[in-house]
Amino acid sequence: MRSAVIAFTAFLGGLILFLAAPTAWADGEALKGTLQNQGQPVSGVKISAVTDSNAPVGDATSDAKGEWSIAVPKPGTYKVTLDAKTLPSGVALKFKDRSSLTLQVYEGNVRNVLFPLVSAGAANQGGGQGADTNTDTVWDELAQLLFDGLALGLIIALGALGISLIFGTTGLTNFAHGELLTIGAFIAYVFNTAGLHLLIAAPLAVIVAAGFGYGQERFFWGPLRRRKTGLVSMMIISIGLAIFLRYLLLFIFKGENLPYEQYVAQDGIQLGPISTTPKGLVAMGVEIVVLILVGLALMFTRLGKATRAVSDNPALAASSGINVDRIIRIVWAAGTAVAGLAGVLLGTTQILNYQMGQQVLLLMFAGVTLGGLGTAFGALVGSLVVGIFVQVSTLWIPPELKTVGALVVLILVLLVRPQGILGRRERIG
Amino acid sequence: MIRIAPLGRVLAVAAAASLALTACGGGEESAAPATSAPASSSAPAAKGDGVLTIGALLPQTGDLAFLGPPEFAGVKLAVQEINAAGGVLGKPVVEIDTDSGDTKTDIASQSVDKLLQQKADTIIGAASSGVSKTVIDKITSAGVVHFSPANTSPEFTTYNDKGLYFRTAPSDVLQGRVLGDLIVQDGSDSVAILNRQDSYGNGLADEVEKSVTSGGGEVVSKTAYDPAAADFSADVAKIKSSNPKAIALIAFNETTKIIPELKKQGLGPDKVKIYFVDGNLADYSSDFPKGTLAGIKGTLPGAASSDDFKKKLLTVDPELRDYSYAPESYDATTLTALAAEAAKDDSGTAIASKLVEVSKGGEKCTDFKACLDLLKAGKDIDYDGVSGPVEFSDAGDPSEATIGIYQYGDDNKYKNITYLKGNVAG
Repeated sequence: MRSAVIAFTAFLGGLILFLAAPTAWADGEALKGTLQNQGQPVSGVKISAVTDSNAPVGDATSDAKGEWSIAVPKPGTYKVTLDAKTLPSGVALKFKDRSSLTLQVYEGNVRNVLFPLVSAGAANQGGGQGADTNTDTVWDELAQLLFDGLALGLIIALGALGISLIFGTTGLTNFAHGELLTIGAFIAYVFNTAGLHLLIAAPLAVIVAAGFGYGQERFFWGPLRRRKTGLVSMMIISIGLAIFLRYLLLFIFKGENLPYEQYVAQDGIQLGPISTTPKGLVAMGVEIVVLILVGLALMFTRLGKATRAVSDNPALAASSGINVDRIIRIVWAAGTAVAGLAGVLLGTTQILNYQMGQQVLLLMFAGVTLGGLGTAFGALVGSLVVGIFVQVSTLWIPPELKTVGALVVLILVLLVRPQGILGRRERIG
Repeated sequence: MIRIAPLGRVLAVAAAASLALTACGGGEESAAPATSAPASSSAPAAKGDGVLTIGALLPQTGDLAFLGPPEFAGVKLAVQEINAAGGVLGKPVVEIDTDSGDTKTDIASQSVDKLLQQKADTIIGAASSGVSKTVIDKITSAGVVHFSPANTSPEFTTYNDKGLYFRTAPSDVLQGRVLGDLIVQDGSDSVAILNRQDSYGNGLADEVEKSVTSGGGEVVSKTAYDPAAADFSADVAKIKSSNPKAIALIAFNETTKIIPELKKQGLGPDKVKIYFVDGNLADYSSDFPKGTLAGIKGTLPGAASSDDFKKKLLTVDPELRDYSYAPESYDATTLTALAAEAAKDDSGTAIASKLVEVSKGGEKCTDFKACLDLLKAGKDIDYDGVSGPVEFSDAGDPSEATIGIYQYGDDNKYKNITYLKGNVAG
């Protein structure tokens, strides 16, 4: 595989290019170009031009700098031909069937012409090497897409965790969860632009986000629930809240993309076939650690067990002495904190925009539904599957349809397992 | 009962507040309020209401928000100068500013509703071809002129617009040709095109491809992306697998997400040649660390704004950083006013019938006052604007235009290398 890469690099290096001089646009119509071989000019190559009715216009020979130019009398269509016999030995056209180019010269403009060339040896072996290189790049691309899918899936998982826990404990489908990501990211932005380093601003933002989640439940969702507002009404309210929060952010921060002060546009690093950035690796590390911690807390702490008990059956949990309201408030605080963290990480690896949360909201819902509604671990598995499918599907489908690929998987899985990958089958009748 | 009283008070306050907000939301009118009273009783022969109302539908938010301030400034400056010269048909011109948002939101169609209700005769906008396409039918079927200072999608040349669509920005047939030639000139024989999946992106990508291929280069990958995507790693990976030597990035402000992704996957401006277009040629000095964009080249339709014109724009909006499309907006507004004067009627259809005429063939004049004097003397005029000679073809496109070629320096700001004049038709 490696030797193929080296061979391909050499093959690329063997290309000879026509380069025009930097002083480009002159008055009067003309055709021109420059011949170079790995930066070395190629001279003595004959090029001729004829009009579309085959009347000769002129010819030129590339000079010591590899440059040539043919003045043409008026705008129109011309056929430019490179005489392959005059090429130095060991040099050939990259595309053998394109020694002649028919192109248009526009009024007052000089038209640049390019005949890509390769050294004769490379041209002969071009086919075989090309095939090798193709399979090679497909595997490289797959590895890259799997890695990027994992990165996207982990972000989605952080957001989906909150959706899933809140749905489990309160039955609410919170469409405003995407905005919780955005708000977390923008809180960090405020701290960041106020002069704090992102490494300090990020944990602060997570704490503020937790407070925001707690307050939301304490003063908004809690009272609504106590007034016995229906779940569908609450879902619609959450859509309204999402729109309200989104446009509030638009009003405050305007619609432009905003970067944090640190870690913008980092140079890529190469890990085998995968290119990534240091910040991307750190973000993934943080995501994995947080997901593991939340998972362990759910499995082994009293609070976690109580949360799962409320998820299973709130009435039964309350009658066994669990303070259901307190658990729900903690779930809201934790869910919003994790969503805020996801927002900060998304803002660091991508960019801040008032729509950033909305752009991943559907993917989060897909992840939650795929994994099984209301199960925290299902949300994790579902999100990773969605993230990976979004990216890897672009090997076969055009990238602008990439979200479709993930949603097709969602539909197929739910057709076979309606309760989701890790969901429990609902008892019927 | 006791609980209802405070609740009622809160409701009353809320209702009052929302009324006040609605009143504020009705668009900012920059002309004297007295002129907004309808003058329908006078001049029964004319179909218009006697007051030329220009609605600006330009980006205050969204992907192209960076183009908004110069475009609004161009419109405002023109309206100021027109009103200083006595207005149109003896009445000051009314300008109403609204937001066009972007293709991801529905702001534009709400703004158009608002403008049509307030009897706009011409709507100047939108900046994005995609947005214009969503509202062009609504505007033209109301008999209102749709006049864009910045749409470059080739699609509008042939669109069925009832003769009411005009633009002062040249079709991307020209920009695509120039950009393709620039790429060929720089010696890149394998070119990847990464474009927005919309009217603008696809149109320009096709033109660039045509130009590169006919110039002897090869387009190895042409990838359209969904502008609302959460990330662009897959799109960039697709390009990377085709091993390009040059990348034409036809984007709006997703550029700030795509450039870091390109750098991540080893396709930064230091490794391959990257080309921007008018949709993303902007000042990125506060977005990226120094040197990130160094060497990137780009094309932007429009001649250089003269220092004099820039100074005048700064008096309208002292915080301007970019001047992109300000001359085109200024010319669109001035041409509208002249056409209304020539038709002696401010209705949309009357303006449209005279726009081509005032743009070419006649005595040359370069500002509203001079042109108005010629019109009043009964002469045929040919308005030459700050953006160029502005000669409309029958389809309402400028037939001649200038494309500027720019390059980014270490400070992530772009500087002009050269200007190139051309005929859109070839």
